[in-house]
Amino acid sequence: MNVKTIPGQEVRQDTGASVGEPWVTLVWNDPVTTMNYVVYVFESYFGFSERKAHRLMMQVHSEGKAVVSTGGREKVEMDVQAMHSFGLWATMQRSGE
Amino acid sequence: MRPFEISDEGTAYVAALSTPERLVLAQVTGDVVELLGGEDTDVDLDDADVDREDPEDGAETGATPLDQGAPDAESDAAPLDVAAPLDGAAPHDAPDDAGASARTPATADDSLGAGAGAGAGAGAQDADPDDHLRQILDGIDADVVVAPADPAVRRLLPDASDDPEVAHEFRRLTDDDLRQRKVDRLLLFADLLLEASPSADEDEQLPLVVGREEGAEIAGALGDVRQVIGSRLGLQTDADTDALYRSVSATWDEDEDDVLETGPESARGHAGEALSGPELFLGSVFLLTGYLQESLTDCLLEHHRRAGRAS
Repeated sequence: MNVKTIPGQEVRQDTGASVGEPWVTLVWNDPVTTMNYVVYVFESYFGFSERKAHRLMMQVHSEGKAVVSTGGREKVEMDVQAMHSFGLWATMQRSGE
Repeated sequence: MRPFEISDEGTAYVAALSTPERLVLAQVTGDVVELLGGEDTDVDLDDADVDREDPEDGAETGATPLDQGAPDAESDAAPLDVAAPLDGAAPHDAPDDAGASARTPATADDSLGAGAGAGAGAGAQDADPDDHLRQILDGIDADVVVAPADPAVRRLLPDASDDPEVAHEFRRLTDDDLRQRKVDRLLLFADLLLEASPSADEDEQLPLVVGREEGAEIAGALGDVRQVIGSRLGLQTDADTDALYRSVSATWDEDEDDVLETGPESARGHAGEALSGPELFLGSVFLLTGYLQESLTDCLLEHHRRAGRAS
């Protein structure tokens, strides 16, 4: 599995560059949402492959959270809003925090 | 209950629910709409008059354990009020909550709105100067949006950041849209639940048909209902949820179609944490909506992946 495809890690390396302070979207584990629904949201909204969606879902489940997208504040705001609309618990923060 | 499957033509998702299950779900769904400040749906159960006059049948018709100790719950309005927190879960900060709900004109009592956050601009002249100052410092005007005080609503509309400024800005931008979207799909779900003519046979499983384009909305509505129930039941961790599943399913009889046909008496003699009354009832609805959401999501995933392979 290609670890470099985890968006958050690449962004952290770029933080020093003048990329306009990227943000990250975090999805958090919650005791209510079913695993397959999380996979469905990741595949249908972000367009992730079945494999990547499953890996990120497992990361949320076992580690409590996962970075699912990165970008400028407006883009990440949109992603967080979409997650809340789906019913997932998501937050945004500046990359590297 | 029978879980969702893709219809033969592939144009719909079809589950089956007994009449009592439909009525209970419609009512709980209406309660969640109310929590979100949506229109008081007053989901009309009179059309579905199944043995309501017989108190012995309460457990099957939706006049359930939540009624116990609630003397005025005899009316049709809300016998199972997830809108009301269970013991100990009362919001600590009522004014904030009033401010939040007052932003939705559909339900807001104007006098309530004027006294709460939404009316702060108009009353600012006479208000405590500190309040006025705080509003200026916060950079906000009458369009104040505060985080919901009720923990159940907060699960539906969580803080988007641990940075208060970011969280506030996000809420200001998105609160209206998110509430409306959730209310709309909950109302759609309630409508679908009440679509079939009720059957006098409580065991008869009637189809619940969700159009393909409505599938994601209904799955979202089911998730919202579960979040509210989960909050009322105090589920904090995955272990809490696992324990709830064990406790509730231990009370079921062999007849698995009747997920909601449990009562305090059936919890006796089983291993696991003793559940009774409102907890057992809400737990049963939690499991029922879980099976519905999970099976519907499997259908959605199958369609999504099929479309992906085709393109």
